[in-house]
Amino acid sequence: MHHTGEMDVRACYTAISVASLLNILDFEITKGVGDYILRCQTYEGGIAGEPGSEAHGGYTFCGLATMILINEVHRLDLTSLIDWVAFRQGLECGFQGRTNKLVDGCYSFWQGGSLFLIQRLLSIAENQIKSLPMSIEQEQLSMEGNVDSAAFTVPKPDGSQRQIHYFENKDAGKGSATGLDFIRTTNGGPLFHSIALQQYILLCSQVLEGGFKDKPGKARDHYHSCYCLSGLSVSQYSFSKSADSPPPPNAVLGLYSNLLEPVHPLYNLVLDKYYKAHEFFSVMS
Amino acid sequence: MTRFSAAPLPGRVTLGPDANWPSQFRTVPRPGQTGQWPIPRALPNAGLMRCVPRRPGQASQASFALPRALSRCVSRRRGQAAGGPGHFRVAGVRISASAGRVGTAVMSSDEDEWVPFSRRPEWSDVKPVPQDDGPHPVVPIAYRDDFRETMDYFRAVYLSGERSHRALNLTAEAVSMNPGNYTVWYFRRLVLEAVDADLNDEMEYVNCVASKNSKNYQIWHHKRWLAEKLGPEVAQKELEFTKRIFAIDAKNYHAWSHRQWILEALGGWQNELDYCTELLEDDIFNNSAWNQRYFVITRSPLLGGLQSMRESEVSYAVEAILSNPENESPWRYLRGLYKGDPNLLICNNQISGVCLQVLKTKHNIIFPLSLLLELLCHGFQPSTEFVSAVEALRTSVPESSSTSSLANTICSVLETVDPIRSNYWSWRRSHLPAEVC
Repeated sequence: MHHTGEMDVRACYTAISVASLLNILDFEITKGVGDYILRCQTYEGGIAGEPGSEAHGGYTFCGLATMILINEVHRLDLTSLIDWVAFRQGLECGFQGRTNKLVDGCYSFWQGGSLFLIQRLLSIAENQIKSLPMSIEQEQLSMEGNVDSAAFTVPKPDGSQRQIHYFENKDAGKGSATGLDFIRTTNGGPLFHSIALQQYILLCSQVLEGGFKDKPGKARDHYHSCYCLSGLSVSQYSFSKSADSPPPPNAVLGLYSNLLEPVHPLYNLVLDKYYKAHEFFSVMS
Repeated sequence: MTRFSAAPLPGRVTLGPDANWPSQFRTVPRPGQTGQWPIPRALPNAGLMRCVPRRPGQASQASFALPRALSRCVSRRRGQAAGGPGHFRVAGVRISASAGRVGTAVMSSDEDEWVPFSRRPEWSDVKPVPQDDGPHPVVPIAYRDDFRETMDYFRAVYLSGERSHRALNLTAEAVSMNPGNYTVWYFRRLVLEAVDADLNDEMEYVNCVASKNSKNYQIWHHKRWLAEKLGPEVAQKELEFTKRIFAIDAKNYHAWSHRQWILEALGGWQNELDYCTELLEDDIFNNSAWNQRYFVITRSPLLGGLQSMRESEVSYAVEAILSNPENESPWRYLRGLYKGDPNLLICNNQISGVCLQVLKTKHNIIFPLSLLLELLCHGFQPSTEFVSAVEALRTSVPESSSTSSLANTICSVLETVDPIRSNYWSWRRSHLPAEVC
């Protein structure tokens, strides 16, 4: 996390997401990261902070987002990951961070956001499912010195690779990705119960005087305020095919004016801010 | 009149061993002094002076053993410091400087006063360095005065590269105000190395801080750093420490990571599986303990690895399932035992057997249905018993088709009985492997 500091999946995400946003991702910085994160996926399907530790929502988001950013998400066992995350939503309607632990509003983003990301990767996951019970095909990573954080590759039947871009490549410049056009989901819906999650956030985590909290009985704080809101946003937009299209009314619990700004699920930045940053840093390559 | 006025120190003290310091400010115990840290050296009228409550035979207990004491000994209260005759602290031990009142150093919260660094003679040579937030700070923080000053002095020693005992004490003060400041911890490590401090004492100190801040990354990292330097002799002690943490919070993530690291780096595996069993006897739902089981059976050099442990672990998990079928942990553990070996998974009769057994009870059917679905996706050939058991659950499900595969039916049932995951089951249903559609 810092010079001589502790090493875990958070640091992978922090470094890679910042490098990605600043458009300075390259082979050097991503070398070995995917291997490490793979070692952090546990027998439960989720991702741990360090190899051997327990699968945990926060680290799962960090690991998953990082793998996406470095174009190695296909190396994860996505079916077991999806299964684990999906089972973190419980009777209270919010998400828990780990198996058999308590619900907490902040996991609305760590877990809900992970499933939101996965929605947009489903073609890879489907390939993995379809290849059961045979061994999962190892996909080659194509790196030409510059990692295009906006794309990932999937194998084609003829053995060649197909690049799928997360983002509409308006510039078609090498490594640049402007605009946003998420991969379409096959059935258009979230993998979790979006309305239930919104219920938990608004009814249990919300503090009427302002801000959000872990759960009733806890005090509000900025961390929970941030991640409950991010989780709420992700939930509201989980029915949208693309980042720019407004959600249908039934996607938003309560008044439609409850609708929040959309966030970029890899960075948890409000999209407008992301666009600005992206534009600024793409000029500087 | 100050009793303990130090001779004015020439210039800035940079590197220097203990010996450079006036005797009363030495804080690192001499060889032979056990346990307590830090302890001021003998002072005039030392007989009247009490450091901290010391109990014979508890050599391992730090002088700051009580977490309460820790916060008291580096008090943030400003109290009468301004007007009083002056007290100062040596690593938190309060020494009264007023005539006639010899240091009853202690930990009485009513009398705690924080002395500004500007009033501490031993710091008179140091020019504090203010925080530089630039000309237009984005989120300027309204620091408390004592915090600001402490950090101003920290910055001074950090930037000058000082490695001394007073710097060490300063880091203790800074860390008590913000245990999350990793730069202070980092600098503390540099100083510890430079003054060749007793790292066992340091471990006692950090354990004290840890018991009050058991979810702080920096503290656990510091422990890891110390343990690595101290080597295998501390393995048992470290494992014991994590046990004490688990007694308070059996799922403390940092403690589990630390425990795993100790095992792999310094050893101590012999009783680990038994410890997991113990924890699971206390709470069969403790997923951290299940995770630790997996860790042990896959990594312990004393065991034969996953393959050889599988059979006994399957039995263990099945037993746990039968006693609490609603417990997700053993179900996931079972699946985990066959990670990467799906062919063996579907051949294990105990596994398909426990699915059937729980399904037949018609209670807590989500996990067995989910596992059965997984078995089917890996090529399991269900007997008619399985089909009937699932059919028996389908009476409440409106949609029914005799041509649906069992896998498909299971998904339908799950969409109804596990409504929070209806979207997930619906997605699973539309993406079943061709062979089981």
